[in-house]
Amino acid sequence: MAAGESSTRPRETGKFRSQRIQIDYYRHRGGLYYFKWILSGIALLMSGGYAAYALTSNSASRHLSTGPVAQVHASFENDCGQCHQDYTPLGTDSFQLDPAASLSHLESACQKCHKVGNHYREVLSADWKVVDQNCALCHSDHQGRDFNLVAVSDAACTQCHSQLSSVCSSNHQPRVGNQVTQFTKEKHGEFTSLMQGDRGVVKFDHGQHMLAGQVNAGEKGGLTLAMLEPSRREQYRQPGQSDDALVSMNCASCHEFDGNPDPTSILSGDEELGRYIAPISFDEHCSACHSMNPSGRGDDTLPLPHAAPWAEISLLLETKINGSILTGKMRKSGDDSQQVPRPGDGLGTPSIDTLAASASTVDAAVALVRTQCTKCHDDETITDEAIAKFGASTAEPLIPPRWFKFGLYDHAAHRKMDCRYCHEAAYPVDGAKPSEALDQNSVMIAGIDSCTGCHRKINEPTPSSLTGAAEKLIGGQSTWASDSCTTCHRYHTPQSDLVHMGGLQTGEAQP
Amino acid sequence: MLISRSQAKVHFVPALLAAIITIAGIGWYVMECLAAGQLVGGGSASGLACGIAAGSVIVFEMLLWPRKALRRLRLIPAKYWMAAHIWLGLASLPLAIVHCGFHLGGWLPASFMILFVLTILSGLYGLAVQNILPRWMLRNLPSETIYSQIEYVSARTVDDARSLLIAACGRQRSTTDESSPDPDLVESAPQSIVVGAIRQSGKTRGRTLETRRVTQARQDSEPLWNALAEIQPFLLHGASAITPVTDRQQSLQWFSRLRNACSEESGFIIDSLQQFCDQRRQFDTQSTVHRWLHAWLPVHIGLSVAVTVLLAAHIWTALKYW
Repeated sequence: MAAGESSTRPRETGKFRSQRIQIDYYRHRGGLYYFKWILSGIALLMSGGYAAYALTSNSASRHLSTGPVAQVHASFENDCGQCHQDYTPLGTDSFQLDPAASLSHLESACQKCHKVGNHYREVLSADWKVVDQNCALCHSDHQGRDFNLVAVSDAACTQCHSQLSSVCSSNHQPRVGNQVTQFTKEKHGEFTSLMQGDRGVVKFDHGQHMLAGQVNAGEKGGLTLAMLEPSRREQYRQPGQSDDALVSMNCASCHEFDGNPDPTSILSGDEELGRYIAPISFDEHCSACHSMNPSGRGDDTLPLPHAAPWAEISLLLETKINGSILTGKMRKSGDDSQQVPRPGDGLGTPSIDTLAASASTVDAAVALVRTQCTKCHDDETITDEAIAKFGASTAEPLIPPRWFKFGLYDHAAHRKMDCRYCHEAAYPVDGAKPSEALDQNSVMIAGIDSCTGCHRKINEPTPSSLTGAAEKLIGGQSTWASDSCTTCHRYHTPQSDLVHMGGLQTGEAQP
Repeated sequence: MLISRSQAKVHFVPALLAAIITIAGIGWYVMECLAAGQLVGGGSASGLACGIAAGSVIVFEMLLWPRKALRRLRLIPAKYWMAAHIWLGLASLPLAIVHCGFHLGGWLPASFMILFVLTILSGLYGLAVQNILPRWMLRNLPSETIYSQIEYVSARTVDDARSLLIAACGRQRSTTDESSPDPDLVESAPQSIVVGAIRQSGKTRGRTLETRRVTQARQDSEPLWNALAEIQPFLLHGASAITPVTDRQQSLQWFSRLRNACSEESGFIIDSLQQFCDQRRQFDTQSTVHRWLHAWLPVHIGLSVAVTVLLAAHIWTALKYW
């Protein structure tokens, strides 16, 4: 307290107090009050103006869209109506008020351009048929210009395949793995296609054909290039080989990469080279050594057409025999006249008697040809009926050009690897042919274990099975590759696959 | 609005309600994401529910405006309304983030989201300063007065100072005509004078009126009147005026010199003048703090208005292009 201050208070009157503050001070609006209204007005005008502009401008999608559409859809980015129907949910995971209407609209919108098949919809239960209709479940757009619409997460697949029996209708139970959740032997199971085995319709010994000269090491009588027709020698000649060299074949001698030969299947994603192996052709791959001829290989070889009806074979053989008789190259049975054909005239004008080769001669020739057929085929598959059936344009090749019916294997992507890594069983053991060829009884493709070494979770270490000898077979290829479902599988399975793969069949219970 | 233990009852129900809504919404969303194996969007069942909840909260928040405009209707006590405004507003942000599936989307939803976040942040700022600054002002600005009355009170302080000098020293010779005091003050001049002063009563300190007996200091009339003339611009206009007492340190030195130049009887007058300067300095601080304390509100309201408009546009476009 300063000197002279007093604590007496008699002079503080109401008048003094009222004078300290303006009695109507609260009526005065301060700057903040006006600032508030000005800012509110500006905000109202700007936000309202922007909203109006966003709704009416030509680039409305840029403002309203939840994100840029993928590059492949960019051309109609500003035409929302191409896919969207007003007030009809279309989103990937939208809450559907009327699922049937919404998803039908979505599916038809996509199929304006994408004519793809559904995913076994015929065998799905009603609830999952709706899921199958929802294209956006896997192909969610508006994720950015560079978003990959076909990069589907494994979860999209496993939501069904982890409980496949409940996804399929009761009378269409699956024959493939019921609970597939990951690409391991335990959680994926062995490849169904391999478990179905080889149909065994063509007998073939891969081991023998991989040997030099097709004989065991050190054995005599091996096939040399000189024993082949000159026109076919280059096909089998290895670099630096002379005509005296033994014929040495490898996988590529017969197996060539191919895509799906069926042009109607192009949307199944298997048209790329390497998805298939070109079908083995007798004329191209076998006939150089295995010419069908009753008299064996030689200058007067008469190659018979492969898979021709037996009546045609008989006629050709009879003609051949008659020709040989007339040119004096052979005599009829019981003919000991020892006639010598005159140059330019043969044996003269033939009579019916001289032309007619005996039935027994022709039959013997046919029987000889039949033995040549049965070297690779069994008796049931060389009947006229079987030949007609296999020769039909719609018939599948006897040797499947693609063994994996449900998954896609890409030979081209694995081209650096030695074929032996997956097809060890096709190679001769210790340079010797097996005592008995079993190729027609087994699928000589390694199981899922040969895949899971590389195709594994990215955070899993490289397994020991890929080191040592396997390292050489891998050929320097990366020892890690994606294990996602879409690496091998495609969703939009063509209806034709459903039929001839036999994976899901009506009325069959799960094994 | 204060958030303290004493206000727990007011905050408990809306805070609990906000927590339940937030946890339920996020929990549902997480479960749906786990089932789908990816982040689901705003059109999913859980995303839509979170969006509806967040949108409803925004509408509710804006109802605070009519509530204040119609305060005469006494629609629920304002403190409960404010508590719900705060807690539900806070809950709406995570719900909105979940609703948008953790991405901004096009420019309209992105603008909407950004403005919404700014609105929440401005509200949080307001909540923080309202809980911190008033307490600080109570402790550090005992001279605090009504913000709009600072200039008026400052003018009254100059009048007080002048009356004090007239009572103690008599009228200033050269300015007799210009500075005629209030007749009421003149009447009381010889005995005592009432001035605005800082008092402390118990734990509360504040500015009030005080009656002071005036001592005679006529021998220092000239330096005291000159001193008042020098500090008067500061008393009227605060820190914007350039005077010897504008700076606190220089002010101490200046009053010290003035005290040395005057007789001991003038000490009471000089103390009062120094106190008037301190008071004005506190008014300046109060002005600054007042802007910190209240300037966020126009921004918050402006952002809220924009958010509400964009919410309406978003609802319409989202439903149309669902």
